[in-house]
Amino acid sequence: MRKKSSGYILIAPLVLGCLVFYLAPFLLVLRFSFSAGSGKSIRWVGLENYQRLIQNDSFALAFGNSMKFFAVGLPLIMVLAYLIALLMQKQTGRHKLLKSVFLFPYIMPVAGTVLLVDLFFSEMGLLNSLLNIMGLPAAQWMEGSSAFWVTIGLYLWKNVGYAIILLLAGLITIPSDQYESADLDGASTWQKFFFITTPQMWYSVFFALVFSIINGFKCFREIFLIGGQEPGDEIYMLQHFLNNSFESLNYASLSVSSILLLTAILIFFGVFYGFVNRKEAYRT
Amino acid sequence: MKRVILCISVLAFWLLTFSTFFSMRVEEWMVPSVTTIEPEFSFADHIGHAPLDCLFETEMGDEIFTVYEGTMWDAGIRARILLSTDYTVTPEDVQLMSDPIIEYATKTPRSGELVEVIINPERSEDYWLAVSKDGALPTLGELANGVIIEEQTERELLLYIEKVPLPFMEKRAQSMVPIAKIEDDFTPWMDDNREIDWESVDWEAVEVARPKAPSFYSLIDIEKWMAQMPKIGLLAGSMLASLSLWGFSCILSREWKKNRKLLIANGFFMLLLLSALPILLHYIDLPSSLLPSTHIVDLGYYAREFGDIFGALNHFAAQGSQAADDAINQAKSMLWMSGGLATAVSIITIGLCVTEIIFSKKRRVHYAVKDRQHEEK
Amino acid sequence: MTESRVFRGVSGAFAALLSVIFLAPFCYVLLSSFWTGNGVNFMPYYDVFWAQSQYMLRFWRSLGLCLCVGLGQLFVSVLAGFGFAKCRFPGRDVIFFGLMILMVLPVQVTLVPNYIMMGQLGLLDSYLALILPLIFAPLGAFILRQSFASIPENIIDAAMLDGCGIPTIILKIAIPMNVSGLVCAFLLSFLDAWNMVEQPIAYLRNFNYYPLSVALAYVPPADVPIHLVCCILVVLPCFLLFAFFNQELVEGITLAEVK
Repeated sequence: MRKKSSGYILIAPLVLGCLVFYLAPFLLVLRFSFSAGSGKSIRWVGLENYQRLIQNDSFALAFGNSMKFFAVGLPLIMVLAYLIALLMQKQTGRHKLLKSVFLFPYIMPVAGTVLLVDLFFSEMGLLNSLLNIMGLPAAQWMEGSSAFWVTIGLYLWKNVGYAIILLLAGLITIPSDQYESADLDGASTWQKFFFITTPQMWYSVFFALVFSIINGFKCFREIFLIGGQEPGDEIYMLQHFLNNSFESLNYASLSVSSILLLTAILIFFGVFYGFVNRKEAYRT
Repeated sequence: MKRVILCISVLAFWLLTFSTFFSMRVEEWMVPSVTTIEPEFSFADHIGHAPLDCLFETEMGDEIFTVYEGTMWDAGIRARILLSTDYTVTPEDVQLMSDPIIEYATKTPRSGELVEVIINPERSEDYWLAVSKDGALPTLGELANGVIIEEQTERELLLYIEKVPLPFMEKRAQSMVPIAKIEDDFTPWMDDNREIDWESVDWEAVEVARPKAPSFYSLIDIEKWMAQMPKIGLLAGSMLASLSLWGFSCILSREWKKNRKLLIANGFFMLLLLSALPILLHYIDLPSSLLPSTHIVDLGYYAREFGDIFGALNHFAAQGSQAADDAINQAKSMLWMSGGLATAVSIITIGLCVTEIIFSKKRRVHYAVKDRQHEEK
Repeated sequence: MTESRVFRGVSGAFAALLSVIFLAPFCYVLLSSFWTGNGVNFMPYYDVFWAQSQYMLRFWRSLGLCLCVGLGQLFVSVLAGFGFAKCRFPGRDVIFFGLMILMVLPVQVTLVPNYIMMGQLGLLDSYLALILPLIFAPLGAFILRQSFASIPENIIDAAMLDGCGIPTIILKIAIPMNVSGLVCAFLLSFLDAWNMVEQPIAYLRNFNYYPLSVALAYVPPADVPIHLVCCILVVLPCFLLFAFFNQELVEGITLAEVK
């Protein structure tokens, strides 16, 4: 029978592997965050590292930038993906090209996107040439605040396809007769969306959010390769901070920032997961 | 749709595998063998001296090359152009302070290209062809020891050398069979600061008076090249065979359920041919002195050079030279073998495809007969 | 549903614009790899494919690496996904939630301790340091758990009554019913491995061992056309795989949603 033991045996490889390669390092990180010094001279210093780090300027900048990135990027990508998914749901049979094409940016390798950004947005790039032809002044796209928007644009371009699939999957499961009966009752598009679509989509929205966050963290690779280790202030992300701490072997700040990042993720997830579960409990 | 992508993927896989094996071999063929020489340091003027042979003619004029060890994408021993500020050219020699520089090479190196440094070359006898590229042969100076002119026409020379280091290097040949020095050579004047006064040189006159050295070819290398021809023919034949098997399989795959066994057989043969490729490529050994300097598929280069070579050989064979005659006969037989092998492989492949078609038709007839027997019962 | 002509026109234009935005960079890369200002020039292709073997060798090495990762993760995820979906044991949901959190963490968080650990295990500077952590990534288990959850309970009960053990159930029932989920998990983990950047830079010291995508990104070849051709080479396997499994991919993610 499906005893508990068979369950444990089945998940054993994965859990053991995760323990070794993800959890154990994380516990090390936890320990580093509460100690100072390295090698033989580790000593327990409690929360002193945390205090020092919160007052650290570059950490505050990095943390703030990452939060800003997600605060701007996540809603944008969800809205855009939702719009496109709704479009594809309503007009089945059309937009064949779009349907086959929207996953392409996701499979584009990092080297390719870096090259493209270079070709397109650099000072002698395509965009500036276009602007020159139209008589508009060329701008420094990779510096200052426009670099942030370039990063957001890159994130959207690459990952909206993934979110579209996740949302589309949820939209497909909504039976169409619900819409038809709503039409008969004379409901407007907005009412249909709010009362029929949204309540059944919470799980899909949650998935799309999870994967968009994962992809957002991966966006760091492109930023790193375009901007280098010390990019401009606008796009100095938390992972840059982590990376630089790694380079300078500053284990303490590396660990503390990792713990803080994890806490932020845990809080966000716990809240949203509970919210989604409550909404879903209404349905089943 | 899936079938199309699968066919394209198989072709892509085949092309990529072929490219891998081919590029590994091309790298080895295109590597020029070089000999290096240390500039002789003279305590008189505290500078090293190297012979004028070390100047290589490139598109950007005369250059000197050194060797260095590269990193990252440029790993390995490579050639590098020495900055023209690091050396001075005088009429007698080159003055420089440097690590060993390249003296002779089987073909002109390019900056950044891999090279193979030869240290203790073996020596052997050889015949050389000298073909003048524009106009008549220039007057020759004093030939080196052991070099004998066997035959001569207006533009070509056949030379016999008793003992020369292998592999054949053109610049070494040019130094052993030098052009006669012009009496009134246009050495520029040096002013009081021992700096060359380039203004005083009449460059046009220099061009006219100093003709280009003829191109040299070694008969050993030519025979070696021709000996590779059959293998190249076999290679071309097997490539054609693989591609036609692929095309045939694509057509068969339209009804893949019926043709399952045939497709598996085809796949097996394609894999067999693919695994024979590296073995075949390993045995092909092209001498780098006859290869183009930039890329190996420069067909114009081959046409020109081999046109010159065989033109000269034909002239000399007509004049009765045994060596030229042997070379031409060998080349002819090798080319025939090559064509024969390529044709044989193609015929085998076509035979294979035809057999498969017949086999599948027979089976269809067989099953059709069986079905009819079933119905009749 | 009745839609106004304007709406159809606008939506059509919108879709077309999006398609162009998604597709244009690829076409640009493809085109400029052999079209320079002066006309068609296939030299970069010759340089990458035939003149030097380092690009192709690196390509095959990366491919082998990613296939190992994909297959390994598939194996581990099938077991774990089935365990989470169909077996009841205490702590199941908590463990699953924990795994989900681990999935979201960016690589940098565990990079340093992993580096220290790899050093102690002696795995640094070898491909195992890259393969092992990726095999045990929770992403595959996440996707497969969702897709295995959709197998009706009665089928499994019937199989158990017939006396099938769990391996048989997995092999004969779960896998054939969920091919799209398996394909989806394999493709996503393959893509993750193919595109990984941080781990090779941290764990491998020798540039010669870098997989193709990292080597290309970290030290781009000086020549832009060669860089473009290399990009095409890097995109090619992913493109072919995703094109071939397009249907399964969409289905697999769809099944992950159906409760």
